[in-house]
Amino acid sequence: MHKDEIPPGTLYMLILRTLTRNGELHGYEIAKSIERISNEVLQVEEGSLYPALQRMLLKGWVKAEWGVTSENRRARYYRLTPLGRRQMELEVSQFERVMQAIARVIEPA
Amino acid sequence: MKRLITKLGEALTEFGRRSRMLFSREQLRRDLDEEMRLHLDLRQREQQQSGLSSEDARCAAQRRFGNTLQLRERGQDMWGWNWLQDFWQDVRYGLRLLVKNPGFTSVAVLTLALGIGANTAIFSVVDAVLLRPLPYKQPDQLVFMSEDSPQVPGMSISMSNFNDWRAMNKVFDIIAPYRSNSMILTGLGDAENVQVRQITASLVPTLRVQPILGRALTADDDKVGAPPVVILSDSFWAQRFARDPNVVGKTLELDGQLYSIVGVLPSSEFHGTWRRFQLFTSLWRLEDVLGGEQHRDDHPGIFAIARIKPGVTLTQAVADMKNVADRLAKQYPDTNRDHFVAMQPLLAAVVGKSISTSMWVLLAAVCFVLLIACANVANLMLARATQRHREMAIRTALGANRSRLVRQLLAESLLLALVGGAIGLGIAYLATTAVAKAAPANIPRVDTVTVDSHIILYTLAISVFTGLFFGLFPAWQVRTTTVHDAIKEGSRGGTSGAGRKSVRAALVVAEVAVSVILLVGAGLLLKSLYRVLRADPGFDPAGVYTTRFSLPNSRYTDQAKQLQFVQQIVDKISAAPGVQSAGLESPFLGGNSSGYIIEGRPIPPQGDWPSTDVTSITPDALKASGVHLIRGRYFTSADDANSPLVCIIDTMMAQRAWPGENPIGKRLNTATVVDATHAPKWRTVVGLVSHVVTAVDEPSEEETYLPFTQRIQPGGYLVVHTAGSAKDFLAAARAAINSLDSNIPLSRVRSLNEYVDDAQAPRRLSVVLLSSFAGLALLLAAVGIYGVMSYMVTQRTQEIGIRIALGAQRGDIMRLVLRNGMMLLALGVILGVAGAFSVGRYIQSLLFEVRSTDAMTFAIVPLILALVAFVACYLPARRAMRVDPIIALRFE
Repeated sequence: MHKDEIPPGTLYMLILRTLTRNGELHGYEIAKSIERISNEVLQVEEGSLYPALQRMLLKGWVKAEWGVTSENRRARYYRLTPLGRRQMELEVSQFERVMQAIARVIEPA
Repeated sequence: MKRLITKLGEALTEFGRRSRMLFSREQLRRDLDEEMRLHLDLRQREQQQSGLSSEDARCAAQRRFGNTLQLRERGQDMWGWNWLQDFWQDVRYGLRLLVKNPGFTSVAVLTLALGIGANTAIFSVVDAVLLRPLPYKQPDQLVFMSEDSPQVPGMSISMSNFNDWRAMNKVFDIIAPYRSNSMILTGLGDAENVQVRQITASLVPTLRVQPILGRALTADDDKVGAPPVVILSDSFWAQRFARDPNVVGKTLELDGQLYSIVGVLPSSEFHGTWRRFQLFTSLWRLEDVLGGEQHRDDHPGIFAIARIKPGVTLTQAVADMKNVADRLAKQYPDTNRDHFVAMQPLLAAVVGKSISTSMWVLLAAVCFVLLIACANVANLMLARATQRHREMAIRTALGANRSRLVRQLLAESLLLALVGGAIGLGIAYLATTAVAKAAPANIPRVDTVTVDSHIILYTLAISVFTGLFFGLFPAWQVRTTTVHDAIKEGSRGGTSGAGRKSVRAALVVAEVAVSVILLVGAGLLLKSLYRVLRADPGFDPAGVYTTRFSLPNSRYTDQAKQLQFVQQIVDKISAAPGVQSAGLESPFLGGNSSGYIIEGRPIPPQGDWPSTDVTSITPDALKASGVHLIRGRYFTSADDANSPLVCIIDTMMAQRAWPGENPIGKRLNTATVVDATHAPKWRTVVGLVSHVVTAVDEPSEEETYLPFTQRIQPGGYLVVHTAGSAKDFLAAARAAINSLDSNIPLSRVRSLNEYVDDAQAPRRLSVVLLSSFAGLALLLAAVGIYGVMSYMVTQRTQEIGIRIALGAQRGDIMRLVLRNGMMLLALGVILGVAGAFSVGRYIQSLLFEVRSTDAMTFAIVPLILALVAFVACYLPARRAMRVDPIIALRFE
């Protein structure tokens, strides 16, 4: 199956949206979740995932806490903050506006 | 607005998170590692499940993950504290480099230390004298007041006018008049002169100081004829009463009258000359002597300090007082026409215009020196940067980004500057300690110079500034080099980039230009000093000594008694061994200002009388003080109270009153009251003497001398011309006085030369300082030129070798190098001369009989520079001339 890169600038939005849907996830789960929901079309580069998470911690959009996986391994779980939720809504509405605009432009005459 | 606040809040909390991370970097790194390890493991298992072997799965997972080290670094970069770590790394690296190049380091540090040290020292003086606020609460509200007329600017205030100012103004909270006086203290050991400030109850509330013991003056003390009270300064209290806490209630005998001590004021909290005063008494209880309508035209040495109401500006206050003065002029046209109220901020009045001008000029001069020092160090750095070219190129090739290299170079520069600054601070400390000790008394507040936290901050600031300034040049070049060019050029070996060379040349040109400006300034001041020293003071100061005494009013009320005392003293001293002539002058060097009219000319309205200084003298006084008689005669003992009124005038007075005429036999009147009923009492001019000045560079007044017998004063200055020493004179004077009255103290004996030296001291100081700065500038510029030229010769050794091999004469080579150096010099001199022309007018007020465009100075300075620059070029040129072509071609 062909896998696509995530369009630039949308990674934050995808992570935020994934966290809204699932509550608490660790890094690998976030990556897997995005791949699964997108029917394996979107592939999250680990090289971008962790810097992005760091950045979001810094911005205060997510909070991280250490927990234990079902297999009893230590993992860092990320959770959305109210600030992150606002950010997500902002980014989603912006994205939809742009998508609709693009759709109108490319739709056959 | 609300959005802005939210944004600000977010930025702050983000900064908080960043700061927390700064202190848990290790934790952050471990967290990230563990997180990524888990990710890898899980991914590996996923791959295994899809059928790969364990090893392959790990590789695949790792491949997907990419460079973990880089990822980790990116994660850390995100938190934004890397620069700090890098900076620390740069500093350590810089330190190692500086230690490894002791030659470079010591030259650069020494240059900077001199530049920064001189700068800090002068700034400390400027801070102490000009900038530091006066030691009072809200000192900005304080103004100094005097009376002003076109004839006599800045005169003291008549008491009647003062009372009207106080009643009519709308702008002052409170006004404090004061006068200085010297009184004789008896009853505590030997009789002694003490410096007394006569004040009123309003002084303490005006300045907002607090007595440290007892009380201040009250309105009761200010009443006419009130019982006399005195307040001690804390230094007097310490010296005379060993800080006795029970001193209040005791008495002091001043001028033969008993004063009760009521309090102690902290003299250390006073400004400028106020600190020297030992006692404070009430001025206002003498109001019947000084005030009243009959004294409206008397100006008995009273000045005032006022506190402006909060919210009123100085301009508003000046306007209000102009209005008051106008109303008084209408009311009292005889005495007050054209009289104004002069006001200036107290601080400005304390410091004075000419001192502040010379201070700013000196500060500008040391800033120039610092600029030259910067240019020199920048040049050194550039020369070194050429050597480090390949290092930089290799670092760039290995992935160092350019901003990182720039930061590294700046860190090195800052390090140099800070080390230089620290040593400079030490130099400044030594210099200011010396200045505070040797400070001429006529520069106010200079004794308070210290290196305090202010100064340390200033040094830190200029060190950082200089570091950035000279660091920018090499850093800028790194910014513009490309790896390709660097390695290519390096491989060719030896020649440096054209850009680099032109920057260094420009720096040298700038150094020369700034040196020219400094040298011209120093030259102009030196020439002024020479003119001052050469100027004729109107007298011959050799072997002339003075000492002052005054007769207390209480025991010498009668003028006949005063005259008798003075005549006996003068006779006794004249008879002392070694004394060639002796006399008494009252006052000495600059008399009491008085209006005068001339016989046969219309009498101007009273306020418009021209004014002259008036001095009473005994017959031999002028001869004793070495004043030259030009025409007519000195006074004799025949000129007494019963003989015709006579006077001697000086050449300035003659020029003013009878220009182009022989003044002998002409008549004038210096008595103040003239009206229809009082016919003027004419005085005949019998002698013409030279105009006497101690400070030739300051405005002086025309002088009229009257016989002591016709204008008796209670004391004055004994003047002798003697073959003996100051000590002999003091002993003779002491003995003479004691034979008549042992309770009359003598002031310190001063030679006339001391008067002259004191008057010239501030000028000497600024000349010495400015000349040393100019000398330093010249030295630094010479080093700069030498550095650039010898560097050029080294760089072009190969080329020179080839030229010689091809048959160039040694002379040609010499000319080649010299031409290069002289081009830079010429350019710098042209720019410098233009600069000196345009900034010269700022020091015009410091010059004496020299124009700021003085042709001689402008001709000599470039010559000096040319000579120095020639030597600085000649040494490298000679080296170039001796280049051995064989060795040169093997060079590198």
